[in-house]
Amino acid sequence: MKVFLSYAVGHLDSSFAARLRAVAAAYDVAILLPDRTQMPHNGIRADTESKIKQCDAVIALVTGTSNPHGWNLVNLELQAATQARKPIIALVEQGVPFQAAPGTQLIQFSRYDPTAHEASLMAVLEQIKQQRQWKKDLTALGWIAGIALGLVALSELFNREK
Amino acid sequence: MGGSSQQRGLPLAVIDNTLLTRLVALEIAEFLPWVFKQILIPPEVKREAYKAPHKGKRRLQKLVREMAGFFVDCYEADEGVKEILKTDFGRGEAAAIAQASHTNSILLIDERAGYKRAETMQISVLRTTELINKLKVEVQVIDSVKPYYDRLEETGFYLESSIRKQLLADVGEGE
Repeated sequence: MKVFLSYAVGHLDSSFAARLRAVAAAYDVAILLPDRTQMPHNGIRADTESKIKQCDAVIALVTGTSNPHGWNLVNLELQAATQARKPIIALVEQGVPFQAAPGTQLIQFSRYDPTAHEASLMAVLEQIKQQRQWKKDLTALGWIAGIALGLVALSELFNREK
Repeated sequence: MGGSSQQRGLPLAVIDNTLLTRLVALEIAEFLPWVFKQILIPPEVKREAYKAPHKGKRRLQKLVREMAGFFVDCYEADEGVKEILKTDFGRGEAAAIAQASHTNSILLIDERAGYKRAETMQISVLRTTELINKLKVEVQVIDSVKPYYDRLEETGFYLESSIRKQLLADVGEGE
């Protein structure tokens, strides 16, 4: 299974995407990341669009430490995902004014209580499962989304210790 | 060797201990500058390679010393990724995969599970056999791959018959 991870996270959470990719790979889920090293002036890069098209689903993660430029990129990537008719789950930190596009499953989370989102996350996954009948893949997707939030919480703990 | 052949635009690679040892044993590690800009060696891999009880250890150390600008010690890697990988892999493999991910380099690894994991992590990966083929087809520094496959198999490298046939066919060599 392939999942595209669209993300807008702050500098202190920057290792998050690579770590999530490493964890997901252990569950045989490939996380495809956008190339954030080269930013296009308008729209998204062709290779990012191609990655979105080849994925089974898109997870968008937006934390409160991210900047408006990052949100803009996530919005553009989610637009491409919508056009490609991919299921989208947006994991957005509480307090972030994120406008989800129609059809997007929006889940808000708190980095101080990362397990609180689980019921709503599972409900969303069940809904998509019924629509698409991906029993096996969605279990993995649930794992990945849960791990994503766990990593944000860990990152917060780590930063607090610093 | 390799000084004039180090071209801009060639990719970086991170190497695993087993594959490095194999390339030295096959006497083709010297050809790597035709294919890569630099080979990055994580400290864990270097430690394993230098401590392992294999015959070519002294030659490996000499080669790495002589090609010091090409075989480079590299410490860049996300520690979190490394720790995650250590739950399934040894220190050397985990470090090599984490470093290839962090530096966006090609990973040179033979171990099957490591190869598969790296592929899932979207890292470009090459095995010894693929590298040997590259040396013949892309940079033409060897004439035939077959003798190298034979030597590999003599050292215990298991190559399934159908895969061997396919690899030979890929470079225009039949059995």
